[in-house]
Amino acid sequence: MATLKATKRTESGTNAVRRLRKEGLLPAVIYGHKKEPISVTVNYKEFIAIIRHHERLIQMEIEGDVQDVFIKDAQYDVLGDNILHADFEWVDLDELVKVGVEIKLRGTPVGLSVGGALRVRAEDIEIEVPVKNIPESVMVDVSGLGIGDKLTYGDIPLPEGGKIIGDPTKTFASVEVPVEMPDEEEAPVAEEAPAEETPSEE
Amino acid sequence: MPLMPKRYKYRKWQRGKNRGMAKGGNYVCYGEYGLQCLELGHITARQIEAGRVAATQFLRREGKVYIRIFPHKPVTSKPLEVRMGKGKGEVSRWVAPVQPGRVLYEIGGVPEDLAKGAFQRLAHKMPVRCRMIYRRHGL
Repeated sequence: MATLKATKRTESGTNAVRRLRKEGLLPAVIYGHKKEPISVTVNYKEFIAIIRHHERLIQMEIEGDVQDVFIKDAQYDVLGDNILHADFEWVDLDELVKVGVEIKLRGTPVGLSVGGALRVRAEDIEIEVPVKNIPESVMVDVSGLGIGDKLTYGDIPLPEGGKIIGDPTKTFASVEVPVEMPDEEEAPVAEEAPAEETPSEE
Repeated sequence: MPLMPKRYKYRKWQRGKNRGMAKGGNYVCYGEYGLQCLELGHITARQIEAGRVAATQFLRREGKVYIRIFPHKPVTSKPLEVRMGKGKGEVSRWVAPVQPGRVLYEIGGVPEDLAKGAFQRLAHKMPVRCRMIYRRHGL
């Protein structure tokens, strides 16, 4: 488990946190367990390194005191390049948390070789899992799918203690016969004029 | 066929201002890859359609192309060789005002290199600078 050093923060407001970001610090907040929230700052580069490794459970050292925290949320700028603020939550290691996890597909369905097409309806899945077992992604083997076969959310292998949020009977991937679409580009298209009112002449 | 509203409350709009950064629609949420706008601008319904056709043809109908913008705004213009006055011109085109950060198109269900090629073709049809972005999984 990665360790992140944090210092308590008394400044708040746009200008104060902007100054902190210029110094390479990231404003953050820790809350949960019905305790009083604490505003902190963490090192931006260290936090980014943790995010890139898809770690969600970390140890946070706040002025010598080490605590287990869960990375709850991160706020990005408009272009989505930089993180502006992070949310941490105090957790016990056996506590259940709700997280979104990426679904990775493995293998090529057998139905593809006989003209089928793989249709995937979701890239992520919402699960409830003990915080110590949060996976980076869940791997699903689709190689056994023939034409007309489907996989439901219930078929996704989950880590120990994990539970799907939502309907486990819902289909998330299937191999279907592709429907021939009419050629849009070749079909003649009548240009439709906007329905405009004729201005009254005065 | 180019996009345009089915019905509208006011036929002609005042020009208004287009400034700032995108307030929403700034991350990939339907497909795996997105084309993000980096400048302020107006994208016309014809340009949106040209982009869609370019991407669909490049992908040879694989995957899915999502259009994330809609031309809500009417722009009027006066005919050539007409003197000033005599009222506001007629609606000549419908545009989507865009700000930096706005995701214009998304593509899903194709490999990354194919999506990249499609976005390169598509970006040539756009009147603004664009870049390809990826869906964020987890945080």
